[in-house]
Amino acid sequence: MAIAAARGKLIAVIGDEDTCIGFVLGGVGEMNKNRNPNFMVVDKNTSIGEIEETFRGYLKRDDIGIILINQNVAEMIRHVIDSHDLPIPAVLEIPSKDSPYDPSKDSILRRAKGMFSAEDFR
Amino acid sequence: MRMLSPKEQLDEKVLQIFDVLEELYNAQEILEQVMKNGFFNMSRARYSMGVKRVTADQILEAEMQANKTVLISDKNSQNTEENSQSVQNHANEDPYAFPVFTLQRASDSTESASVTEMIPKPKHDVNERETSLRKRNLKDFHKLTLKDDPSDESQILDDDEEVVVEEKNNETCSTKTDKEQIENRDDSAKSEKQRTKKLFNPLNFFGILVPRELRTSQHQFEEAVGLAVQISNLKQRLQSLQFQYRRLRGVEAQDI
Repeated sequence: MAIAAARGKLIAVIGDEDTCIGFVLGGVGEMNKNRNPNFMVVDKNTSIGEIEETFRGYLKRDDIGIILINQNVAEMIRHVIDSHDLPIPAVLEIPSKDSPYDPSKDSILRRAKGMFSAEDFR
Repeated sequence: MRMLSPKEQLDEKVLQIFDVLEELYNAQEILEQVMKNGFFNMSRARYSMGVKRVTADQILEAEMQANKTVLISDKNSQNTEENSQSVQNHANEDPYAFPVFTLQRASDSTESASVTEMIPKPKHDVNERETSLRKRNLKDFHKLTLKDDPSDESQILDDDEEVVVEEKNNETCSTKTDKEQIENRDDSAKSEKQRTKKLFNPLNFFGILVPRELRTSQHQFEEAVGLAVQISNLKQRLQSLQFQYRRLRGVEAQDI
């Protein structure tokens, strides 16, 4: 078992204000030397382009191991999440304060569902 | 041991996938509940502290370092040998390896709990020192300078006669040991500060005396971080099993 990094990778968060505050309280928040935080607060004024750009930025960063994203925010950039098929960073959809988690919308679970077509069981 | 036929292997993989899915749904449910409680406690804290005291403004520009990170290690699936027999064409690749995330805490849970207790301590020491100095003499620091540099002595004595009187009274006690003690205190305060800097508690973004609800919310989100890592592992396992299933289906199709 080879350990990839001695220090460990960060957990990034993209979500509404309360989700970000909560996870920063939980101890995942980090501001790096270039003053780029590993979390993004999405509010009603945040454009889809900004979210997409931040998400792609997190995918490129090699110090991030897991990206937590609110499911309602993930819905806005579904095409980007669906196109990401690498194991690291792992993208995890989480519920938000306003909307509960719906497994039928989750990219990975939808892929699992799509595995079994009716023809497979004939 | 009897070698399983491709169909039996497929059945086994499907069962494994369903097991992982069940675990995943349960973990997601627990995560949702924990986060819900966290949000609820945060709202209660906001109600008692004021709406503008618990906002993203406190964390957006703040200097912070992650207390929790994830270690990533590669893990092969349990049935690697078995699979390598059935999928001989791809023996050189290692498609069954999937990353395993392990939550790494900057400090133990006991240490993190004591962080809040550690922070006011240096302040208390400083206050204690200030009051003791104040009682003895307001310009206690002059004593040190007098000892260090005798040429300045006359100047200071001219400036403040009280200092001289006080100094004469305390001359016997204000020796090198006093100085050493102060230096030691400084050193211990510095090391304490360094330690507290390392074990920074994000709760302090919202003040030192935060309501209990916010602490509870913090604990719930700490739990949520652990659950998130667990769910990530389950999803990685699910993806690995999917891959294996597809490969087995390919082998089965070739056999037919």
